[in-house]
Amino acid sequence: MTLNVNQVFISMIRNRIYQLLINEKIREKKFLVPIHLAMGHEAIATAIKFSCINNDSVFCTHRNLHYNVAFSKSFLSEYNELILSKDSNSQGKLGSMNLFDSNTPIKYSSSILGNNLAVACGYAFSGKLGNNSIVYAVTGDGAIEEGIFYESLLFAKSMGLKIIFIVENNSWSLATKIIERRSPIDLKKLSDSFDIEYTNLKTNDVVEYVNAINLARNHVVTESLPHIIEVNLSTLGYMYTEEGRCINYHAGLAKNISLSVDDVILSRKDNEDPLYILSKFIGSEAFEILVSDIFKEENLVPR
Amino acid sequence: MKLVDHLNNKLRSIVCSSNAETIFYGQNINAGSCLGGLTKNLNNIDNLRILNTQNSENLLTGIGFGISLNNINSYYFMKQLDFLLLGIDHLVNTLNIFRLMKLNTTNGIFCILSDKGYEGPQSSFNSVSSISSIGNLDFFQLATAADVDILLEKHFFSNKFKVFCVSQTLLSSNLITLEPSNFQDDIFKYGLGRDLNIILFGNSMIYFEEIIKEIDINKCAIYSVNNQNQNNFEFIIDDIPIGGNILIVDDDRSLNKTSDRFLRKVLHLNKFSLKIIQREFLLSDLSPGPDRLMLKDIGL
Repeated sequence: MTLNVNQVFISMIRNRIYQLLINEKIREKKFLVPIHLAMGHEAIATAIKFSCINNDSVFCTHRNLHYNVAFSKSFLSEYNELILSKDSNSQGKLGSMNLFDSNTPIKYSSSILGNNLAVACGYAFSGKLGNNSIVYAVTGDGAIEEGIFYESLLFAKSMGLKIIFIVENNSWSLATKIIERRSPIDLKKLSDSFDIEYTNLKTNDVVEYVNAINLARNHVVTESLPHIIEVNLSTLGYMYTEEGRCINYHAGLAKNISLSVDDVILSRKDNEDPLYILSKFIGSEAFEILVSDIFKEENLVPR
Repeated sequence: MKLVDHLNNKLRSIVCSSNAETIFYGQNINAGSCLGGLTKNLNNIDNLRILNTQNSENLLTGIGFGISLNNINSYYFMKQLDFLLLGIDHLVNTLNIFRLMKLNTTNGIFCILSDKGYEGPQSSFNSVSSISSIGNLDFFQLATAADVDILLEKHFFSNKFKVFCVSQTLLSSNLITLEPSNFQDDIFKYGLGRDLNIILFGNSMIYFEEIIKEIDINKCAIYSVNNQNQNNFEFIIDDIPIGGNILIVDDDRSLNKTSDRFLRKVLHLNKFSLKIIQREFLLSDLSPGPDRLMLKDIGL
């Protein structure tokens, strides 16, 4: 598959800008529904968008905005869903945590931890995927603690399902880090115990992610076997108290973030921000041009 | 013939005649006794896949919804109603989303209610109305030839999620072949008499033959409320004359009984003479033991 990397970059930057815009709308109290932003998750969502071919499908969690935005045609279509507009694709009936558009590859989203895994497995199991189609089932480090994650792995392997489990590991479940709520889970060892292929992504490099997903996808298609991809990432928008305690971002307004050309990159720490990684890759000047172009295209007025 | 054989035959004929692509799946449904014969001999049907699965009831309750996204019907067959407790999330939350989708396929559950007694306290669950209520879903009890022939035919491929449930006792018993004298929606009436009107809710059709022996079916009527999601009882209320004697039998241990819904509709009418026999949750009543109402003790 020939990858147009410029389109990848634009898509990822647009994903961030749309989320920043939604954050501003949260600040303006435009929404009745809870919004779970996913800034910091754009690389994996963009990579999956550009890896989806044929009739691939995606099954999301309550934190689905980055996927919906990735596949969306416009900001307005997402905004209309979140304000429960009757003009939206779902006629305002899905809210935010169950948001999906069946005209895109996203077939289902669930607000219950792990609930989407069963539906994804059923879809993959029905045998009507077509020879070259797979299912992406997105989950998180909190949901893999649910029994249904284990059940889904066993079922997927036993039935030879063409499914990739995407585990977005931001270490947080609501307000507790992994270390505060449980012992570590070595997902590679768990995958090995099921004899399921495992890939770990942690660089936030979207091009690397696209390549890794395509590799996994080819394996899934040719072998008719499931695959697990664990993505280590940070959900940006967290803050620190005066005492130095980290308050993670879970939902609602990311208070310390605003919509501006300067704020498109939210963190320059390590590999936390995929947009920072991108700007280092293509150069800050090229990055700023892409950002400005998208701002103009979307008629956005930065705060 | 036993109920299980009639049911098995009906399942085969419904699936064959529909040509709709269908999957039956569940633990041990195509091995060993095939759930006491319920799912035997269902191989070699072109449009049916039948599959033995792992022991993962939460997952298995949910995959039916995913299957329906691909325009394929499916039923999860389970040996014991209790298995469904592990999949309650799907009966409520997943079902809510699929209700909005309005697909042209069906998926559902086919289960057996453990009511033979003596299998222990963890085989005492019979709160079918609670399951129906928690998801606001259709929950059909199949007890007689008529139930199988009419209800299964009508609802099996309807575009709604539903549960079909069969009493373990009745499954291996001789088939009740008495034809209903009338029926409306999912309520069947047996007999034409007026002396006594007996209304059976929950799993109470297990008392049908015992009741038939005690009464004269030509002088009495028995109504079976076969769908625990039933909310329209006009068929019964309009059918029984003013001053009629009604005996309600509800074997369901739930605190939210289908018969309570009926009582809410009739009590204020002050039209009938009512006697109510409802199962309560009593520790002493839990299996191992007969695990049933003793109708003779309560003066039937």
